[in-house]
Amino acid sequence: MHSLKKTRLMEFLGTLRARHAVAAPVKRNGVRSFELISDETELDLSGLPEYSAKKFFFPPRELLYGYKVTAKGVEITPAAPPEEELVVFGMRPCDVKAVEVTDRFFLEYGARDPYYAARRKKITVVGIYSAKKGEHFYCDMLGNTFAEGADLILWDAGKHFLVESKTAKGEKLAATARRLLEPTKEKPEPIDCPVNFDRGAVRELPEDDPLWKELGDKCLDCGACTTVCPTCTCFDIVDEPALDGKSGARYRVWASCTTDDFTRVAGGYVFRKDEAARARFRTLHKFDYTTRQYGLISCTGCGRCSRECLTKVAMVDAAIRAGIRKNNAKKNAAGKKPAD
Amino acid sequence: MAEKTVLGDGNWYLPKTAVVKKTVDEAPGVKTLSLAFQDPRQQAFSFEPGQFVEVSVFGVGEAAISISSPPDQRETFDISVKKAGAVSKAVHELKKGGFVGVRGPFGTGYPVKEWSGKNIVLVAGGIGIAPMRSLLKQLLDERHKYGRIQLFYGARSPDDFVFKKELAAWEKKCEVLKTIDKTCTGWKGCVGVVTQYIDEKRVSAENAVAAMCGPPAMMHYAAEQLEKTGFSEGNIFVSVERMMHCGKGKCGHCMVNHKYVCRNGSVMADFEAVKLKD
Repeated sequence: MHSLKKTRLMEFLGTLRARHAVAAPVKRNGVRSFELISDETELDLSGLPEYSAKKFFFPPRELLYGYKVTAKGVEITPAAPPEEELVVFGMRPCDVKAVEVTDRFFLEYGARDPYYAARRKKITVVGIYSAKKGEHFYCDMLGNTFAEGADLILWDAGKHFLVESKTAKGEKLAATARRLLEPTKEKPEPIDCPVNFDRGAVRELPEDDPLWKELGDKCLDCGACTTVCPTCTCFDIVDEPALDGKSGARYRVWASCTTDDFTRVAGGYVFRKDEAARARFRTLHKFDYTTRQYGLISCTGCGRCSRECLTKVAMVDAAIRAGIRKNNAKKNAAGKKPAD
Repeated sequence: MAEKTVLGDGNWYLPKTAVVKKTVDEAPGVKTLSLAFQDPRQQAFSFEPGQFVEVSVFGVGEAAISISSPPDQRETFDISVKKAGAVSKAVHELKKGGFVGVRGPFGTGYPVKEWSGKNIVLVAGGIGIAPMRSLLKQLLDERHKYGRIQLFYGARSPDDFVFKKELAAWEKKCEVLKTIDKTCTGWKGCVGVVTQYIDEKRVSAENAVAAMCGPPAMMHYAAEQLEKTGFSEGNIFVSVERMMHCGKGKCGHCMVNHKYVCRNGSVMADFEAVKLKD
């Protein structure tokens, strides 16, 4: 464990930037998001950025390969893998949790995704964790206050950060800024955040539960929730032909399960026709399906989908409320004092 | 460079070039294309009936299409395509000697190896006959291994039956019940939806398995009818249709509950999928 004075944070970031590309939370045009930075003073740690760092792990539009149809056949030129090391700096625990989810999904569950793997290999994750309760939206309730999975963690300890290396990558990165770090025996003070949520509650809601209709009635099919979600990774594969009609490129681009064309097959049939069915699908995907697939709830509790929704459809809030209600009911049944 | 291989070899998103060796007009809006991989090293391509490939027409896109030839047809493999979306329309424009991209095979096939000695009921509606042809041809190639084989096949009109010439040959080796939507002059077969013919009079669940492919409504009612005659979960195999972009459970389009149709299917012995509760 090392200590880093908060007054030296810019210097620390500058040292990292001297060797690597660095993406960090900044505020541009009034919106906070993770961007590549060329100036440390742009750093904005005022709260959870509206956009997560997802685009650096899984870009909104990613080249898969170029193609050229000739008289002899089809030449395929795969996208070149990223060569530069990238530090993603200042990720909150819920966003670090999101990386654990997307790693599990793209690298371990079923087929390994070669594009995600190539990008991920070059990324070092630096988290900034705060031990203050109430700063985490739903993260606490989902047990993500201290998510594992960062290479290096900067614990907010008042006037200084406690710098903890969690992996060899993190160790290596910290070593480049060793002159700014002082060894310490101090340890981050963990706060008590028990999981106050029953993950089974959403799964037990019947298909015709009024909740789904309530959520669906307000939904505009705009896809904002899936865009800002740090774990939503569905995509389309699309062609961009050149004007010669013979060459072009194939990309994958983010897709949203809340739009009606998501399940439309050739001929026009749509499997999830109404918004209620799609709200149910997205909610169950987060809280039920991924736990059955690879053992992780894929909602990190960051709250972006509810906050950025144009009509304030509170999909995860509803699921979490159902989970909290059930948890409390269980506690009541056990004769214990219920939580709020 | 080692990393180049990460996005080159072993990158399952990359299609391989296949050459159109033959095209056959099967029915209005339906064509069969016989394809062969250009690179002879890919001719070891093997698959099971019911599996699908992602077919690319470059500049238009990719679409998931069932293989319609049996696995023991070696030099080429067939896809039978109905004009329905952008890619299938482009596939119809292809001529002998043209190129497509092919990825796969993907998904699960029909577990034919476990069906020795069994009676087999096949139900197909419309272009759903495509994977059924792959399956039926394999079964008929080893006819002695199986008991009674029945095919219930529904089409809009007599003209809309795909594989017309082959149907005559199949009728000699197994029972084929053909039905059309509305009666017309010269038609001597059955009329009405295919599912109404799946009843206790014609079908027995004893020592039997069923396989089907067709429009969602047909599969829903066919599963119900089969249940009524005594079939149960585990012996009804459904080739489920969904939008599929990637083929390996990453793009998310084909998810039904916690399953990916492309990976856990597309042949599923699963009543959740049969009854289409998304």
